[in-house]
Amino acid sequence: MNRSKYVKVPLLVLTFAVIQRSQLGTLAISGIHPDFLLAATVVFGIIEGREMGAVIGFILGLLADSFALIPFGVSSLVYGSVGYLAGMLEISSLPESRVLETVVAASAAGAGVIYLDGVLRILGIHTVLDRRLGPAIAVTALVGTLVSLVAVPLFRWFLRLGLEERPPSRRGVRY
Amino acid sequence: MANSLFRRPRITLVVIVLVSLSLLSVSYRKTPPFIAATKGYVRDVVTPIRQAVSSVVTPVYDVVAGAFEYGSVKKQNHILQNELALLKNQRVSDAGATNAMAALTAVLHIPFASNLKSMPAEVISYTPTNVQLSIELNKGSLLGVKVGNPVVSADGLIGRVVQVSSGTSTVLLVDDPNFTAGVRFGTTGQIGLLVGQGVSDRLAVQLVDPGTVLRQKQVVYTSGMQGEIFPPGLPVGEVAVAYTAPGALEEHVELNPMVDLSSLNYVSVLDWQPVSP
Repeated sequence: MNRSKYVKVPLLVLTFAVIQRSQLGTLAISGIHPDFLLAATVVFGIIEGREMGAVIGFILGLLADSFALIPFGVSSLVYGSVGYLAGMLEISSLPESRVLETVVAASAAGAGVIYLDGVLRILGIHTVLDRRLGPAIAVTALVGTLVSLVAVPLFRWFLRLGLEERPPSRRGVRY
Repeated sequence: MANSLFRRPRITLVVIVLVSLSLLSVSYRKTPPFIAATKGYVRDVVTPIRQAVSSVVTPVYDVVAGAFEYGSVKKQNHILQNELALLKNQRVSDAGATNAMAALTAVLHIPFASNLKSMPAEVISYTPTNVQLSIELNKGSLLGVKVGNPVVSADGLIGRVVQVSSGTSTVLLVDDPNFTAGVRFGTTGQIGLLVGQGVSDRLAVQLVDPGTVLRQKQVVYTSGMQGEIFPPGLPVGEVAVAYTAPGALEEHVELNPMVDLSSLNYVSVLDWQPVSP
């Protein structure tokens, strides 16, 4: 990771934490709040690959856990895994495509909600998701789609800002 | 792979999963003080930034909310236009201040908790997460708010304080699926266990004897029995549905909350804490 990323990535993480905590985060669609932290995790996974997706997802999960009453570690477990999952796009042999990235964003965000609900059920914690899993998947996937449409190109541009050379594409990386 | 933490990303994932599971097992039963303190610091850092950017975010919020709630916004607009026409005929010098004053006065004179010290607080936000139904208040531990304090409005119980940082506190609302409280039906001796059902759903009362006669709109109060987490006599809700299903071992009871939990501005934090067993 180039040095400027050590400043840029935390700045983006903080921005999403503030957006989640702002009025936009309290917006309810069918009683479900948009999860911008999960959407950001997916975006980082798509742009930065599996490892950074997992690490940033873990950090965003810790932030999500700081605002909730669920045991510390639940969201970091889920978001870390979702970041890794979204980052698996880098090892796919599919061609680079915005449509594909959007589909991955929607699917990974939806999968994140199912995973979160599953973990909470295993722990015996009752939440709003118990009764509204369907709307929660739909809303979170929609938010993931919308955020990815804006944030993927924006983050790419921001992370490249000030770099003399354009970094190589991460697609096709196998290790 | 100079940019990687480990040679293989899979190892990073395994480490993250293990760290998360360790944190989870440490905080599952009871949140350790260092985690509670960390959560408080994070909230204290993010809250002022959020308040600073709210002027930027509010127009975006209005556009998005308007798009998703176009029908209700249109209907509400019609009602508001009628109300505006009525208000124009009244000489109200500062309607906003008057309303805020009325709301504050109401929370300062809680009729059912007059023997308890209370502190008015402003609701600064609804917690933006799908795993709990809670609100955040602008008063924290510096002003004496403690975990366990009941929170009420002039109409009845709203919830209880579950997290406190120096400047803010989090209140678990009565409709959260994890919320429970012992309740009593009116002046009768019948008791039950109130359980939240999630947003825009009614509250359920469990463990009510089958065949118990309950009237519609009968007010239900906190029982305040030994070991209870609320003082007695706080109104919680009104009976909306009550019947015994054939073969059921308990009465099916649903309540409408006394307080409109979707539009809270000012609340009162009661200086009361459950007695430790």
